[in-house]
Amino acid sequence: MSYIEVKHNYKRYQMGETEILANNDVSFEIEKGELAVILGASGAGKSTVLNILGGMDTNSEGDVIIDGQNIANYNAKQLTEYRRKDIGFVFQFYNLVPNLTAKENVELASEIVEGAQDSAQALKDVGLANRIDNFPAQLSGGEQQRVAIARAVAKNPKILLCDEPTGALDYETGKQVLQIVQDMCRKKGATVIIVTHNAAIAPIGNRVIHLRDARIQRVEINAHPEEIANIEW
Amino acid sequence: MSKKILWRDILQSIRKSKGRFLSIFGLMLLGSFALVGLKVAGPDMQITEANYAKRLNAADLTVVSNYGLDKSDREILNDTKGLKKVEYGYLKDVVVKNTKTSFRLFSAPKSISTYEVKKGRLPQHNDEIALDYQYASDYKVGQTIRFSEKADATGNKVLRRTNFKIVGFVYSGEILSDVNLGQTTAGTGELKGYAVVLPAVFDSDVYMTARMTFTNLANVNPYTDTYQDRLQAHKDKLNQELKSQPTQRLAAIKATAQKLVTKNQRKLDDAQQKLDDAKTKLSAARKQLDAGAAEIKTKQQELDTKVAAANKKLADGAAQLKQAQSQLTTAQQQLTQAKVQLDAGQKTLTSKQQELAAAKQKLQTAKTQLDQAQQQLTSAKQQIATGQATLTSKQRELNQSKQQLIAANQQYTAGIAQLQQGLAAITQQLQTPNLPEAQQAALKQKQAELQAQLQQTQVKYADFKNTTYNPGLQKIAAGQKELTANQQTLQQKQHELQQGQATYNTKLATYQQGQQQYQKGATELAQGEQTLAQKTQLYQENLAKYQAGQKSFQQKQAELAQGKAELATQKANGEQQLATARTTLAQKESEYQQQEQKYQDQAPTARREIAAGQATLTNAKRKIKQLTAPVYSLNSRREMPGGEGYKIYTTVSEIVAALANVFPIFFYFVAALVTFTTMGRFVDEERINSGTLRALGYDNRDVIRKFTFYSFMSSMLGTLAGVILGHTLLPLIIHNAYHSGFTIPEIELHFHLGITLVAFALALLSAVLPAYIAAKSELNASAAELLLPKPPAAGSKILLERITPIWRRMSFTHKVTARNIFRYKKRMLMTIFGVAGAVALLFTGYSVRNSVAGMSETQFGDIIHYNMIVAQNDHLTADQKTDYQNLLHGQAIAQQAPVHYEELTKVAGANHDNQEIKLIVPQTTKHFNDYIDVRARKSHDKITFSNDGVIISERLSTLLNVKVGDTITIKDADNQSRKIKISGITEMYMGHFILMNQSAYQKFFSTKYQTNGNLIILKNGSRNNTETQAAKFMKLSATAGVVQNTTLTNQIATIVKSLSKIMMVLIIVAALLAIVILYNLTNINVSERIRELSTVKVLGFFDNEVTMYIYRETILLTLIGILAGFGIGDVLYRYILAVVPPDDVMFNPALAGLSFLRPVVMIGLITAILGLVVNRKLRNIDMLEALKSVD
Ligand SMILES: Nc1ncnc2c1ncn2[C@@H]1O[C@H](COP(=O)(O)OP(=O)(O)O)[C@@H](O)[C@H]1O
Ligand SMILES: [Mg+2]
Repeated sequence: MSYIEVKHNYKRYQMGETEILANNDVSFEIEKGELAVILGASGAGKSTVLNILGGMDTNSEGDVIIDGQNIANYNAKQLTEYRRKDIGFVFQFYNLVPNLTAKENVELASEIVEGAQDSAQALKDVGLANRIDNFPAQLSGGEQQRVAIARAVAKNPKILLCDEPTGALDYETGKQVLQIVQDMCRKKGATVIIVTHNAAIAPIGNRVIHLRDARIQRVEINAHPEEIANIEW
Repeated sequence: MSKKILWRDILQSIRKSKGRFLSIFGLMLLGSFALVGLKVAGPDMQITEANYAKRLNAADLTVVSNYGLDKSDREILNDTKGLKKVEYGYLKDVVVKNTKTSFRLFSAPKSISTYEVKKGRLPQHNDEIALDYQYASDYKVGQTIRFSEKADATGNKVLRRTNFKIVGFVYSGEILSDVNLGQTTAGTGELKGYAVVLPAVFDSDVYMTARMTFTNLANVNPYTDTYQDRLQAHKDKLNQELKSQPTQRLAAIKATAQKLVTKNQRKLDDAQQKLDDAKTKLSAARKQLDAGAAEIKTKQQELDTKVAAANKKLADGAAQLKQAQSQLTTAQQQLTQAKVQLDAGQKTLTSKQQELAAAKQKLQTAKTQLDQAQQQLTSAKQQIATGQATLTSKQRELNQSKQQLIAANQQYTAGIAQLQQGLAAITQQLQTPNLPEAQQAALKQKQAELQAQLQQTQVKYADFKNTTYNPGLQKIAAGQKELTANQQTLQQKQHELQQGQATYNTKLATYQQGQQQYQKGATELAQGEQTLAQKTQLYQENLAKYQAGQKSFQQKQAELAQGKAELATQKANGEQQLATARTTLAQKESEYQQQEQKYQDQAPTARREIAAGQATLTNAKRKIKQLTAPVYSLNSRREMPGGEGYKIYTTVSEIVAALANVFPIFFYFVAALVTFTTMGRFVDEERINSGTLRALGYDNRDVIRKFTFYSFMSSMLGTLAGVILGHTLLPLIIHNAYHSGFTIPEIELHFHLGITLVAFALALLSAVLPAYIAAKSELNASAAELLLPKPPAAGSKILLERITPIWRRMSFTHKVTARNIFRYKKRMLMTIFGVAGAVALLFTGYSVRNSVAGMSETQFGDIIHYNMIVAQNDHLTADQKTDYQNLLHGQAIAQQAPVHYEELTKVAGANHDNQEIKLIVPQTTKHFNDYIDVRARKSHDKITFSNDGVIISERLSTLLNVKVGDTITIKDADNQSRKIKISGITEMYMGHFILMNQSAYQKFFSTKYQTNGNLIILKNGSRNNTETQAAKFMKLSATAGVVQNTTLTNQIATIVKSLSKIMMVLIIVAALLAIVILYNLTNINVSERIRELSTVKVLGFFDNEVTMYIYRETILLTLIGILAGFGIGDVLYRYILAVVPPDDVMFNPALAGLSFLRPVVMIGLITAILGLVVNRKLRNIDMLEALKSVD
């Protein structure tokens, strides 16, 4: 049994008369410690899958079993608790609290769980040791994303979910960020899922899930993922 | 270019943000409602009253004098400058018969201070009356009402009749209150109603009141300073004009009264004189009659005595005559007898003379015989004596011989006996046995001797006897015999001598007797001769006497007869005279009786009349003496008796006006601030929209128009609603609060353009202008910039962070909160201000309510313990005093203290009103705290009386702005200025008081202390019983007035009620304001930070944590706002305490815990509820949506 099992996952949106299917019978598995990449065009339903996996959204149908627990049956509170304990998020637009320093942004997440990393250490890990007391406005996009990653990993989540982490970043910075994410997976053994429309990023994953028009197109297993440094776009 | 899209966008944005639109609408509504409402209610009240007064042509000034207004007064008043019209009227306080309900009967006015007829009509005949409309439910038109009028101090009554037919019900333009109509001298001391009758009903030389209107006041709002100033000017002028009136009036009144008194006194004196004269005459007549009767009696007695005496004399005379006659007869007989005797005596004498001569002869013979016999006797005597001597010697010889013989004999016998004795002894001895022989022999010898001797002797003796003794004895016996014979002879001779001697003695005695007899006879004879001579002479005298007596007898007999005749005449005469005198006397007596009867019949009445007259006169005289100068009082509508209603009404309107100056400013300020922020946020939120519009080709003005239109719509609609509600709802609420105590018509709702414009202007200022400014500044950026999201406010270090020790100790969440608070400074200030404003209003509202709510309880529960003050009239009679004392010490009264009570005045306060001050000077300050708790407000420490200072009530001190140690000048009851020094300030909420002890009173008033009233604590202090007892006192002629606590309580109750209601409205408005502000600010906060909140949510914050993440700031700011609110509220409250209370009322400045707690609870509740709303909102927020884009 895989660490993450998504079985026949449907997500429907009712837009007036029409029904939009954002996920259509999506099923896949991800093993613990893997770095999975969900790849698909814009509007394919990647974010939808990720949000459901992260407990930020609920599916319309199907099971989402994480470490043996079907979170599809969770209520709002259980989902919150699940997010709080097990999930780390990295968004395309960082979503840092502008009024808090880098360290405080990390603490925002780590304060609410037990056994979290030291926030300063977390920032150090992402190479921001000397920007700890900076406010987001004082940081560059990549730095901000790194703070976001630090915030996501500081609480030692079971799963790290990244939605287009490089979307707003330039090439170099994007690579740096990906490197950090990969390091998290490799060094800390976290299960990482990266959502991207950028096919160039796909090779770094142990597993690549192709989404298209709300369906799983195929799932590739990559026994030897590419080093970040070797990819280009 | 078509603006269709623009309008659609505008409507779209309104529809999209109903909450915001409503917020601005609400804020503006509340602000303008409070502003317009408060600003309008006071004027509406005043206009309503002013119109009412105008309609009834209420007097501007009312002049009252306690002696009424006479011609001289009227001349002055008529000549008043600027006078529009003056009208004189009567009034009199009475009670409904057999009740204690007091009414003031007014004479119907012609044109000034007329009445509003509510039902029926005004009186047209003398027997008609129109009653206070208040009584329309108790009486009916057509019914008869009966009053009783109490005579005034001089016993005068003013009403010609007291029964009236009710023809209508009216409201007065002067007495506006139906709970507090002022003081009266009838009933319980509190006026309960009024009524109108025709002037002809009053029988009085003077008018009681003058009502004046002035030209320059005719069209002036009476609530303006102009009116006040002009009226004051008239008042001052008139006061000046009337200045000399009191003295002149007093003099005139005194003179008239004195004249009348003098006249009446003369009349009385005359009557008394007459009566006295009649009495004197009668008693003189009586005396005369009595004297006459006495004289007659005396004369009768005299006559009787005289007659009796005369009769007696006559009788005596007769008796004497008779006696004299018998005496004469006896004398005659005696004389005759004496003559015989005399003759017989002569004869006897002659015989006796002869007898004596014979006797003399006889005696001489007897003498010779006697002498012979005497010689014989003497010789015999000598013979006998010789014979006796011989005999005696012979006898002696015999006796001698005999004795010798006897002695010898005895010698012998003795010797023999002795010898015989010796013998017997020896014999005896011999017989003794064992006797020696010798002795026996001796003895026998002796015996023998003795025997021999004895025989010898015995022989001798026998011899002797035979020879000597016996012969001697015979011889002696013979001599004795012879001697005895001789003796016998001698004794015979002796005897014979004795016989002879006796015979001699007898013969001598006889002779001597004869001699004596002779001598006696001789003497007798001489005597007899003398007696006879005497008797003869006597006889002669008696004879002469007899003859004289005979003569006088005859004379007296004649006299007697004459006396008898005379007596008879005199007696007849006297009787005649007396009879005449008696007749005259009887006649006079009957005349006298007649007069006396008449006198007796008429005198008591006359006397009574005179006494009564005298009493009245004495009373009148005393009254005249006690007359003080009249006091003229010039009263504005507010000051006139019964004007309490006007005063309270004005007070209520002024309270509203005072509040209008504070509250709305606050409201608007807060509302404007919040609107400002809201609009700013709105412009921000619409940034991209605006950019799009601009990009689409709309110019700046169009975009600005969008925002100004939005804000204009919301604020104008809100203001419009507020203005409408303010013009209607608030005045009506206030009317509802006070109207029950007043007879003024329903409040008139007037449109007030000024304040309406102000409200709209403020709305523009606080809503449209900020929108315009915000939009304008925003639009300075290019369209492209606008299309980019506004960079989020940069984080920065806050001050607190630099205080490392504190910052380090703060929990993470608190740090976040702290940072956020300072990040949104504007919103922080808004929240604090908004909450502070609302709390300040709530706090003030509750504090004012609290401070007035407990006022009555504190005043009459804690401070004032007496139920009433009874004031006595000056100069009471003993009877009046007794009645008063009886009531005072009656069953109903638990405790009473004699005091000096006086009503002082002092001009003070914003309206320069005459403040009435109760002066109470207790006789003793010892238990004074039983009646008034004289204490400091804050500490409740008792304040002690000082000998050189007075204690004034706190409100008076604040009104005059004085403190302990200051000196103030007040006017006493006679309008005299008195300077007093303040030694203490006592807690007091209603009415002004000045308290002092006797020493202080005498010092400051230079008047001797005298009690003239009593503080009374009833056993049963209920309102009903207090009124009953007050009525009892009022009935006494000794009572000048009764002051009950209820008067003040009523007055205060209206104010408190009104104020409470207004405060309640303000509290509600403040609470609504708080809700709108907090809701709005929270909303802005949430919408502005939705991304942040979504992030937090995604990070796994529970709903509560998310809510608290943002709401902690609100709570903290709210707390700060509450604290600030208390600070501002305290200032506000102080301002209200200074401005709002009527001049004679002090609001308790003490703050109650509840005043703090209630706003906290309310704001807390609002915050909590809003918290729940936010929580709900955040729970349902789509975190993904927010995080998806960059907007
Ligand atoms: N809240 C929503 N309401 C309606 N449709 C939605 C919503 N979220 C996503 N979709 C639709 O679902 C589809 C998948 O969206 P998404 O998962 O965001 O795509 P991707 O992340 O792959 O670009 C899209 O067609 C999008 O329009
Ligand atoms: Mg996506």
